[in-house]
Amino acid sequence: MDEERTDYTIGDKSLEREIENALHVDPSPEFLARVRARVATERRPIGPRLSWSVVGVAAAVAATVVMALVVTRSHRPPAVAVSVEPAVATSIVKSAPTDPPIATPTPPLPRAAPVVESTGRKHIRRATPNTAPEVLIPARDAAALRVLMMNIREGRVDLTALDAIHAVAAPLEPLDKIAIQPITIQPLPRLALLEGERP
Amino acid sequence: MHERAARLAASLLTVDEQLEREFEARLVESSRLAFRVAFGVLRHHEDAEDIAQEAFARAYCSFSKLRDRNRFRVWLVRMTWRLAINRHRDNRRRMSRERHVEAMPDPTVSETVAACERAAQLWQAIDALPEKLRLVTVLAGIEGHDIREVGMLLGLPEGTVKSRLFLARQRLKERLEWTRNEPTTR
Repeated sequence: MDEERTDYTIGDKSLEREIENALHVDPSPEFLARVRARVATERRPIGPRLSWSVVGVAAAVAATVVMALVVTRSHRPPAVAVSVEPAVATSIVKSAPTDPPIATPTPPLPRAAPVVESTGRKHIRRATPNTAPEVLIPARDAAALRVLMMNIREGRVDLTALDAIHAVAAPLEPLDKIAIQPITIQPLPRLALLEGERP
Repeated sequence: MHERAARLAASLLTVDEQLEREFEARLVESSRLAFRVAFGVLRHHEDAEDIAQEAFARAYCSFSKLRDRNRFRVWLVRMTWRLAINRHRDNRRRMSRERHVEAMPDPTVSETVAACERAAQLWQAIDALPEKLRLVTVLAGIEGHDIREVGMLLGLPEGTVKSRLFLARQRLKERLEWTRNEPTTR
């Protein structure tokens, strides 16, 4: 093959010469001047500049940042929060007023934690933008309060009775005179004696 | 502060001036190459100059990436070839160009009508080649490029260039009836 090529190359000198002669053409003398004039009309600077790929990458980065911002905001304290109260609280709250302890009278439970008269359902409420602990209001209480306020606005409720109550009420004792009795804790009775032992 | 700004502006200006000088150097040394590549496709003097000019204008816009001499020439050859091919396909002056062929290349006093006919036949044969073979043939016929230089301009291995060149010349020889009468060494 190589030998054949060598023979061909040697025998093809005239063809090579013909091709070279056919391509031995020079541009006109004013060609360079025309190119220079054309280049001069190119207003873009010759130095490095932003290419389309760089612009595309920058746009992609900007879009990513915007998306990240949107997603971050959507994951902040949600506009609608869901709170589920455990069923244990229900029993405590319901039993507190009706079934007082037998051995040791306990002070009434604080109002904050077990306020919800919950049946295990989900309560939906508006989230507050501040960081203060949220106040849970039972649905029934809230509804009752709304009805009361509506009735007051419409004049169905006579508020003059409140003035009478306020007049009758005894003045409060000063705080420094209040004596807090010490709490005594007695031992719990044995469950076995109360409930009976199984055989 | 003003001094720093002035220094920075001066340095930028210097960079631009340096790029301008480099581009001018590339233009001077490669203008003939671009023109002949375009002429190899179009065989029309004015069209070839237009295409070469367009290629240089594009090279100017991308010159910051083409400062290396070899890279510039490779880019220029490819761009010129592509532009010329596009022009060749779209040009409606095909017929007038073919009429020009008979007058090309620059007939001297000693050239005969037979030589012009042979040149026309040669161009027809080159036109009939596939594009890959045609490009190798044209580049090898320009400025005495050898196989290594053609390979460098096209980004091809020398073996590939050699085989393409061999195939192209074989086809040309088959097509040109006058080559059969040439004495061979086989």
